[in-house]
Formats: sequence, structure tokens, C-alpha cells
Amino acid sequence: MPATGINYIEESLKPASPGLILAALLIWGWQTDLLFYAFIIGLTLELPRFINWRIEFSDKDINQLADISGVLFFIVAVYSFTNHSFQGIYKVLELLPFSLLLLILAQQYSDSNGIKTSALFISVRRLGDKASPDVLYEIDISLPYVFICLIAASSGNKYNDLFFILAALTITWMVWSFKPRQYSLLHWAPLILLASVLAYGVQHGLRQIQENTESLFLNFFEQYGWKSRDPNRISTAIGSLGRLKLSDRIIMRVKSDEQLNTPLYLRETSYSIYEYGIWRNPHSEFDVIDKKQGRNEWQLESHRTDIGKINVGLFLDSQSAIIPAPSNISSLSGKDLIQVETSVYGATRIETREGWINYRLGFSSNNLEETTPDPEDLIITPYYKQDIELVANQLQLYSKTPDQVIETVKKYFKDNFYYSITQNQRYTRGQYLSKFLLENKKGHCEYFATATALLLREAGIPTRYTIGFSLQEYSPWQRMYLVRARHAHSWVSYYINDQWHLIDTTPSEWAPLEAEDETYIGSIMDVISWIRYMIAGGEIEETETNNNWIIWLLIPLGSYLAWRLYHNQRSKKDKNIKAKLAKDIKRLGTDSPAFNLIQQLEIQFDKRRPGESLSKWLDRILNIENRKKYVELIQLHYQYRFKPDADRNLLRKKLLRQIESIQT
Amino acid sequence: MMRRLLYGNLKLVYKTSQWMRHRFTSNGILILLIMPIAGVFGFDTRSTLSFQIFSITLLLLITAICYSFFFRGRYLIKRELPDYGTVDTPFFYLCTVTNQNKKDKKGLIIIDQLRTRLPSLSQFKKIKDPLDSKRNKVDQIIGYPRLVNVIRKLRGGSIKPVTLDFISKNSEASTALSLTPLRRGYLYFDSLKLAQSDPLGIYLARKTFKSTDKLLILPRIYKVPRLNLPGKRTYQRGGINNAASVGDSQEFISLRDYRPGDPLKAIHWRSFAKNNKPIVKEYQDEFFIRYGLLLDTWLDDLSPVLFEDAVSIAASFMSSQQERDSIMDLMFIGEKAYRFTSGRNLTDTRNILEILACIEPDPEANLDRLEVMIEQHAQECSAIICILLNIDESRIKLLNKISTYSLPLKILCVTDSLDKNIAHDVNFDIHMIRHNEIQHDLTRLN
Repeated sequence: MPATGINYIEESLKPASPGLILAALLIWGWQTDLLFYAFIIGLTLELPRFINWRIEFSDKDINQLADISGVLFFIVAVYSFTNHSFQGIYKVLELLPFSLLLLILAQQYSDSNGIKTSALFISVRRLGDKASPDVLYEIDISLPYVFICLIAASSGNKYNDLFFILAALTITWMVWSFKPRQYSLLHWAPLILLASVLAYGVQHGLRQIQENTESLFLNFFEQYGWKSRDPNRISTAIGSLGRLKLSDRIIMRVKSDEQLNTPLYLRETSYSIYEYGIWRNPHSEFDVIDKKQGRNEWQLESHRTDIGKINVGLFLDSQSAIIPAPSNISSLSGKDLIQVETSVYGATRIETREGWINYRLGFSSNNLEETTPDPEDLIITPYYKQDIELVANQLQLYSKTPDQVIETVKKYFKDNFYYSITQNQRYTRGQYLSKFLLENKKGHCEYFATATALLLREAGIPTRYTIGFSLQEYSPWQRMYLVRARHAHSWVSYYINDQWHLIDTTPSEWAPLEAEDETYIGSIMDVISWIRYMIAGGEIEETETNNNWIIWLLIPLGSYLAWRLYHNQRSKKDKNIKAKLAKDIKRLGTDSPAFNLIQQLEIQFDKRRPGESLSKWLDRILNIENRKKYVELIQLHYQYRFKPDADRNLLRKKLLRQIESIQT
Repeated sequence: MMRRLLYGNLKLVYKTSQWMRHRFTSNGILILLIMPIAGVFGFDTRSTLSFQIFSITLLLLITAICYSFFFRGRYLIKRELPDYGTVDTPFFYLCTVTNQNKKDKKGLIIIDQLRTRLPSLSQFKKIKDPLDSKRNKVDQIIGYPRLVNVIRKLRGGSIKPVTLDFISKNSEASTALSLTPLRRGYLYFDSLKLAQSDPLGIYLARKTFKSTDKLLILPRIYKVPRLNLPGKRTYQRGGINNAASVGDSQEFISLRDYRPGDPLKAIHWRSFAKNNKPIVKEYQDEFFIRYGLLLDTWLDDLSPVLFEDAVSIAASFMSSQQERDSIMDLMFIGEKAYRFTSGRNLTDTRNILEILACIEPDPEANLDRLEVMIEQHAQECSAIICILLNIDESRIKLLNKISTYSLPLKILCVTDSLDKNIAHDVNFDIHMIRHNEIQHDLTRLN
């Protein structure tokens, strides 16, 4: 059977089926609460199927639209990352159909079948007409746009199952347009159904995998990074084997006009019950603090006044968090804050946004009032009772006054224990604290704080295990105090003389020991962290004009766009001027008086043939005698016609004179 | 070390992209690209639902790939190539598929591919791509677009896959495939592939059939004007038949006594010994116009495009001599000095074009050898045409040397710059042939 024609296989993307773009946009609008815009955009993009009106876009126009889309995307990205930190990526994703709208509009409303790769890739554009067909071709971007709408819709993160069904239906609709002709619906439908059902299972599986993985590694990761504390419960690293290492990551920045007394203990929260490596609270209710009228400021206790203020920058990965704060905190203010609450255990919880947030923290001369001790603050779990009694007897705590007890315990830990972040020996559950107290006599701050709390309880002093950070590092070049993940610390709050006090029995060398593993990469990371902090808004100002710098960023971008537009206009102007000049040059000398004579000769003899020069024509129609008279005339005529810099008046006079002499 | 690692990665990227192009349909590639994007955004399943799109696209791909395992059947496939092709000129050839199954088949895709050999790192470093000057710095340093371009050029063209709509059982069907050669020389065909898309139109199941072939691609030919060089007819020892031979082979007629002026090498030494007087061999006298065509092959740092232009121009001159009453010697330096004669039906044009199809530029300076070659043959030439790649000191020296033979000289120099006017500073009349205006400039030679 001979070949009747060549059926090349389709190498370019097919256009989206009618209605597909609208469907994808509606899903996007439904998920991101932009349904109105989605509907309008969808209709606008589907409309060209019903009308014949088209715009003639040149390649250059499309290139410019692609550039503008790029700039739009950049602005959206910068704005989103500024306001939402890392979470900004989801905002960028959400707005993606807007960023690419110009390009898809240009495609739908132009006569071309797609957008050239030269518009999408600068590298191809630079090659110009030398680009090979392998790299320079047209792409129909309607199907990629449908996918982009679906991925953008996924950022809405609502109605899981319904979204899956709608996305699967949209993709099925799309795949239907790919179906090769040789297959029937009976071939195609079972396959797509199988793929969809399996995909439903896989997406459930993926979610399950993430949950399982997270729960598996939760404890492991908790010690490495700072996360908002659970006010009800905390797992200590007591009993964890291996070397305890916290990261150098900067998680908090404190700027103060006055020098602070370091180490400054920044409390997150306190716990009262200890069992097998876990501290917990029986109840942890939070009281909402009223905001000051007309201001974004919260006074934690109305009768107290601030004696000083510090600016705090904190990185948060959730919208609600317990913040590290000194125990004498009295007020909070800042535009990032939405709500402030305090708990009976001295925790201060804020509602805010994710990313780097800034606020001002006021402190007074007295500690924040906490509740009086509960019976739980004196409980020692029976499992530890015997060992604690043994040590208390050794130290004769039962016969001492509370102040003496505090001094004795402090001295006991200082003289007999040393700091270690390594635990290699494995014991049975719950034995680690006893071994620390009686045998090993080495451990990290959680061992010291837990043991101290229980010993003081044994002596009848109510205690609470407190966690937080120790502010101790000042960066001269950043001119602020830095709190790193490894500055996480625990200590004990004890209640004497109707007041809560603080005791830290961890040997003071804990901080230098924790900093031992600092590397040069850490310094680089510090610089990156600082840049990121500054980009995200930097420190809080009294005027609270956060993110105004974006206007400064928009100025050069706007200037660039204006310049591009002006440049194009100028190019057009230049082209116009050049065209006008060319026209002028073309018209130059058309008023030559020789033309009249030529016309007369044409009537008298024969017309000039196309492309025939004057001299050749004269050679043809005149004899040698007559021709001689015209030689000078032709020279003068040519000069008048084609020599723009010649003295035209003089030439004209000469020409007239010559014509006159010929005619006479 | 870094460069080697980078180059290894470039090759890997290239192979992956080729694999994608050959294995997936364009729609399949779209899904393949969307899948990782959806995966990245859906990495945290709590933040977005993008992982659902990832799942759907992943399962579509897996389903399509699994379906491809069921592509069965017995087929035969062969191609019928033409004798020659010409650079940048598309040509068609036939592919015949025999369906040996008991079922009719629809929608089979024929994929023919030219052999692709990736250059080694040292080769890649040496190869220059004229488009590099138009690329940005990153592309220039990393070199991936250059690699793709070089591979494309080395391969010599690409063949678009073709669909065979229908083949009935136990019968054969033919279809034409088209190829536009990108370079001259031999193109090697490796294997033929028969493919079939899955019902979702995403993935291509393939069967490979070993079928090696080679095809010679001739250089591009331009129309050249008759050169009215003022050279006279020259005496050709040995006559027209031997004029094609390289060296000194001659057609012997008789022996005669030595006359002053006879060359020493014409002395017949045996007769000299017998008769004790110099006897020389006499040859059949023949006079005709014989042009020497000098092709400069020393590319130096110049663009390879220029060399291609020079070869095309040489091919145009050589092939234009067939119908004329003159002969032309093509002289160039390759691995050694070569001289081939064309004209007056001496050599088939195809042979000359075959030679020119396979000629390679010489990175080493070879003008001295060319000078020696001309010295040997200048006396046989009526005029000399030089096709130069550049006008520099060494080439001007060569031209000065040639001018000492008092032969009419036509000098052509190929250039890739429209503004380049290097001929101003020399005393020779040099015709600049611009890369983009070859035909135009050749027409204006006279």
C-alpha cells in the first residue's frame, strides 16, 4: 500500500477543550474565595471561541507582555514573602493565575496558535532568527494554564474530598482530549477510572505517611528547633540517649536602648507535675487581656507601669504562640499582635501571623503576679520519693529554713555536679533522674531543674519547673541581643514569702559548652538570618510603618517599566523619523525642472521603459548630435535629484538655464 | 574535576530530556512536568491540596506506563534511503512496515533516529558554537545550549515521527519520512522504532528494530558565473586523460634526442646509457585551460560556518566545470596535500562532491604546505582561484607567493560580518563573500 500522505505525530500541546479553562478557574475561585474574579477571567478567556474579533500582536508585543507578567510575578512574590515569610509561597501560588493572565489573554485573543518560546525564555529570545526550530516554536499555554489554576486552587486547602473529585474530573476532561483515535471509550474509561481511584488512595496514603512520620520524629525534632510550647505538657530530654545538641538558629532578636543584665531569663511557661521525663500541668487556662482603647497595646496588669521597653523580633511558624518573656513583663504592643492572653503558670500567649513578627515588650519593677501555689506544686511522684528523701537527709534539708534550703541545694549542685549534654548509659524507665542524683552526677539543665524542683518540694517549698531561654549573647554588628535555639534553658520557680522566685542550679558553664560546636557556617547563617529578618520588616519602630520599603522597591520596578515603555515609544518615534527622512530623501529633487522636459520628450519620442536610466533612454531616442546637448543637463538633474548637500538654488538656476538653451 | 562533573551532569540532563521526548507524547511531557511541581507544593499535606494533583498525575503516568507493557505483535520494518542528500535541503525517504499479526493495526508510530554520539569533554571544549555570542553568560559558562547545538549538528538532523493510520493483517504499508540534513558528510541511521500510544495519550510503548544505514550529505551548491579569467591555455603533458592524475604520470609517445630546456626528469636513463647521449621521453602534447582551485582549510579560531561556506563555494565551482571546456584542480590540505581534477568529463561530479562532503577543517596552520603544492603545479595552471577563510598576514604571504607565478588570480574570502571590509588594506582584488549573501555575492563576481 503506497503512502498517500505523511501523518506527522502531534508534537505541540493541544489547546484546552471548550469550557476547560473556565472550569479550572472556577475551582480556583471557589478554593481561594476569588470566585467573582475567576468567573470574569474564565468568561473572558472562553469568549474568543464565540467571536471572531482578534488583536494582531507582534512578537515584540508578546515579549513585552511576557516581561510584564514576569515583573508582576516578581512583585507578587516579594510582597507575599515580605508579609507571610516562608508561608508567602502559598500566597504566590494562590495568585499565580493572575500573574499569567496577560500571556494567556494575548494567546486567546491573537491569531497565533500559541506563545513563542522566545517570549517565555530570554535565552531563546537572544538567539533571534538564528534559533533552531528545536528551541524556537509555539506553545499553546492553555493546558499548562489549566494545571496552574488547579495547583493555585490547591492553596485554598478546603474541602479535601470535593476538591479531589473536581480536580480529577477536570484532569479527566483534559486527558479525554489526548485520547488517540484508535482507542474506543471502552479502552479509555476503565484506565482513567483505575488511575483516579488509585490516585484517591495514594493521596490518602500521602497524608497518612506525613502524619506518621511527624509523630515518629516529633520528639526528635522538638529538641532541635523552637516551637510554641504546649502549656499543658512537655517532654524533657531526660532519658534521651546520645549527645544532646541544639542548633545555632537565631529564633529571637531583642533590641534595647539600655544594656540588659545578662543572663536574662525569658520564661515561656511553668509546669507543676513530674512523671517519667514529662512535666505537665493539671489545668492551663488562659485569660484574654483587654486591648487598650484605640491602640494595639495590651497592659498585662492594670496597676503596674512600665519602667522600660525592649523591641522583640520573633520567628513563628504558627499563628498562635507562647512567647518567651521576662518574668516582670507588664505590657505588649505592636501591629502584628491580634490578641494577648496570660495563664496562671506565667505564660504569655499571643495571636499573630506567621513569620518574623515584631513587638514592643514593656517591663516593670516587679514580677508578673502568678497564682499562689497549688497542692500539685508540692507533689513528688512516689517513684522518686525514696531517692529524693535520701538526698534531702544527706543535706539535712528538713531542719533548715527555706532560705537555708535554697542555699544548701545551690551549693550541693555547684560542688558535686557538672554539666554534660551526653547520656550514653541506658537504664530502665524513670531511673535516669535517680542515677543523675545519686551516681552519675552529671547532666543537662533539665536534670538539674527537675532534681532541684523535687528536692525543694521535699523540703516543703512549692516549686514549678520553668522553661524558656537565657538571653546572653549580644551581637555588636547587628546591635541587638540574639537568642538561639541552643539558648533554650530550664530552671525552677519557688515560692517563699508570698512570692515566686527563681533558682538556676545548672552550672554556669552550660552556655559555653553548648556553643562549643559553633562553626564558621554558623556565622554565614547569622548573616543570612539577619538579611532575612531585615527583608521581613526589620525592627519595630514607634511609628510602626512596617513594609513601607516595598514602595521603594516598586519605584525602580516602576521606573524600569516606564523606561521600557518610553524606550519603545522612542524606538517608534525614531522609526517614524527615519521613515519620514527616507520619504524626504525619496522626494528630494522631484521638483527638478528637467522633468517637464523629459515629459515633453516622452510625448515626442518614446516613453522610458521600467528600469531604464535617463542616459540610456536618451541614447535610444536621440541621435548623437542631440544627445550631446543633454549630457550636462542630465548631470545637473542627477545632482539636483540625488545630492542632498548641494546648493539647490544654484543647481536649479543652472538647470533652468540649460533647459532654456536646449529649447532655444 | 568540577568541569568534568558538570559536563557529566550536562550529558545526564541531555539524555534525560531525550528520553522524555522519545518516550512521552507532548501531553505526557506536560503531565510529567506538572507532577513534580505539584509534589513540591504539596510536600506539606496540611498546607495545600496540591498533593492530590500530584497523586492524580502520578497515577496517570503509572497507568500509562503499565499499559505500554502490553504492546505486543510481530512486525518488520525497513527504510529505503536515497543515494545522496544536500545540506539544508529537505528530502523524503520511504519506510515500510509489515504487519505479521492476525489483527489489523491502527495508530502505529514510526520513529527513525540518527545515531547520536555525545562528544567527549576534550572534544566539547574545542568545539565552537557561533550562537554562543548571542547567549547569556550563564549559558556560555555552563554550556548546555552549546552542547545541545553541537550534538544536533553532529547528529546531522532530526526526523519527525510519523503515524501509520492503518495496516491490515499480514500486509505492509509504507509512509514517507522527511529529513533536513544540517551538515554535510555521512549521516548514520541506527535503528527504527515502532511505537504505540496508550489509550490516555501519554506514553509511547516501543519496539526497536536494528537497521543501520548511512547516507552521504553533499555540500550546498550555488550558481556560479562563468569566470572570465584572462589566463591562456597551457601545455598539459600526458594529455587530457592524465590531467586528472595527481603527480607526474604522463602519456608516452616516443623517445627523442635531448634539446636544451627539456626537464631532467624527462631523460630516459637506460637509452642515455646505451647511446651515450641524452635521450628524453616525448609525450603527447595537449593544450587547454586548467584552473587551480585553492581551498583554504586552516580554520584557526574562525567560525566553522565560514569553512562550510568555503566548501560550498568550492563545490559550486567544481560542479559547474562539467559542461565547460576547461578543467579545474581542487587543491587543499587535509591529512596530506590533495589535488582532484574535474571538468571535461574527467571525474564524475558526484565523486568530487563526495570528497568535498567529507573534507574537514584543519586546526593547524597549513598554508606553507599549500604554498609548496601550488609551486609544484603552478606551471600547469592557466589561472588560480583562491577561496580563503580570512585575510591575515600568512594568507597575504601566500597570495604574494602565488602572484609571483604571474597567473591570473581570483581571490574569494568568506566572511560572517556584513560590515567586514578587510580587503581594503591589501594590494589584491579580493571578493568578499558574505555568509548571508553568498548567492548574491557570487553572482556579482564578474
